[in-house]
Amino acid sequence: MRLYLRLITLCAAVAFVGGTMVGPFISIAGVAPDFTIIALVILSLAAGSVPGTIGGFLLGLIQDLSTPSLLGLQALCKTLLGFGLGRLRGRLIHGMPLVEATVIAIAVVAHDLVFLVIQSSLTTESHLLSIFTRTLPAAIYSGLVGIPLLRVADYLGILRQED
Amino acid sequence: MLGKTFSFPLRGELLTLAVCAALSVTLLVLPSGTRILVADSLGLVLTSPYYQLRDFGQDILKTRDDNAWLKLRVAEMELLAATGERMQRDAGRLAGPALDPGYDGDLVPCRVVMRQRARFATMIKVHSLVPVAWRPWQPVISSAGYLGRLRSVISDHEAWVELVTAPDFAQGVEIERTGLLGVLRPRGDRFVVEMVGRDEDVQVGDTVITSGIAEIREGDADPGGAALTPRGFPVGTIVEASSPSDKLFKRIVVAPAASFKFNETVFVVIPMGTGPVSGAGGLR
Repeated sequence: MRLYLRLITLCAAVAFVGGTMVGPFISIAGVAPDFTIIALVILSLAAGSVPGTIGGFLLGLIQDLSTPSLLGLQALCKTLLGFGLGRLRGRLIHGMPLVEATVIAIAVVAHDLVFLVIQSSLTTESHLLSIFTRTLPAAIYSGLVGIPLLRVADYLGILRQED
Repeated sequence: MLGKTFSFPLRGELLTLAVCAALSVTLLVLPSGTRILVADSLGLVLTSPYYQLRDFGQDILKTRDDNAWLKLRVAEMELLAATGERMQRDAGRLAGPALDPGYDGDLVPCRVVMRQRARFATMIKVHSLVPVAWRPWQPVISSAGYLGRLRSVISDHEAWVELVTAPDFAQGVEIERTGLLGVLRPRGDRFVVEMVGRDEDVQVGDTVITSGIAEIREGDADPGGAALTPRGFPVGTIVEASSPSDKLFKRIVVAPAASFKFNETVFVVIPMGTGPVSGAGGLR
C-alpha cells in the first residue's frame, strides 16, 4: 500500500508540480519537457496497463480542462499511451538510462502524433508541422529530464527489476 | 512487488482501455456548448483545488516577501525619523548658552559616551566628533547651565569631565542680581554657596552664575587663561538663604540649573583658536 502511495505521490508531483511550476521555469525557447507523459511512463512501467490506462485518462482529462474545445482528446491520447506503456512493462531492460530516455521520447512523439492527427481532422487547420518544431525537441528534452526522475522512482522502490 | 500485487488479465486491461477510450470519445463528440459546461464542472472538482492551493502558496510567499520589504522600509523610515529628531534636538542644543560678551571662547559640542557608575555620578566621559586641543580644567556646560570641568584628557577626541557633584569640587560664583561673589561646593545631596557675608543681600530665587574669577589649585600646573571659566554661565537658583546667628557667613542652598543625570550633548568651552586641531574644520 505504501508503494502505491509513493507511486501516486511521485506521479502527481511530477505531473502537476513539474508541469505547472518547473516546466515554464526550465523551458528553452518555449520548449519544455512533457512532465505529464514522464509521470505516465513512470506509472505505467511501475503498475501496468490498467493503472496506466486509468491514470492516462485522468491526466489527459485534467489537461483537457484547460482547453474545453478539445475536451476528451488528451484523455484519449493518454489512455492509449498508458495502455501501450503498460503493455511494455516487463519487456524493457531495467536500469538503462538510454532505454528509459528513448521510451519517454517515443511516448512523447507517439502521443503528439495521435493528438495532432485527430486535432487536424477535427479542425480545419493542419497542425502536423508542429511535430518537427515542437514535438521532437520536447521529446528529446523530456527524455533527458525523465532519466533522473525514473532513477528517483527506482530509488523509491517504485520501479523494480521484474517491472 | 507492484507487479505481483497489481496484475490484471488481458481482458480486464482491454475492458479498462475500452471504457476510458469510450469516455474520452464521448467527451470529444459532445456539442461545443455542453463540452465547455462539462469541462467547467469537472474543473471545479479536479483542478480548482490544486490551483487554489498553488495560488495560496504563491500568495503566502509573495506576502512574506512584501512583509519583509515593508518591514525593511518601516525600519528605514523609523531610523530616519529618529535621526531627524535627534538632529533637531542636537541643533537645539548646539545653540547652547550665550557666552559672556567679550569672551573670546568657543563651544565644542561633545556627546556623553560614558557615565561613572555611582549613586551620584561625578564623572562623565565626553567624545568630540572633531579633534580638539583641549586641556584640563576647561569648563564644560550644557544648554541649561554649568556642568563641571575637564579633568583628564584621553585623546584629542575624548576626555573625562568632573561634574559639580564631585566631593572636592569648588567653583567661583556670583549672584547675578547683586554681583556678590562666593564659592559653590557640593554638600551631600545639595549645593551651597559659601563665603557670602551674613549681612549681604541674598534672596531666594536669585540666579547664580559663574564669576569668571580664576581658581588657584595647589599641586597643579597653572593652566593659565586656557582653563579659565568665563563669567556668566548659569549655575543655579537660590532656594534657601539664611543667616545663622552663630556663623559669619550666610547659609545659601542652590538648586543647580543643569541636570547631572542626563546629558546627551555637552559643550566644552575653549579659548578661541585652540579648538579643533589644524585641518579639522570649523565647529560652528
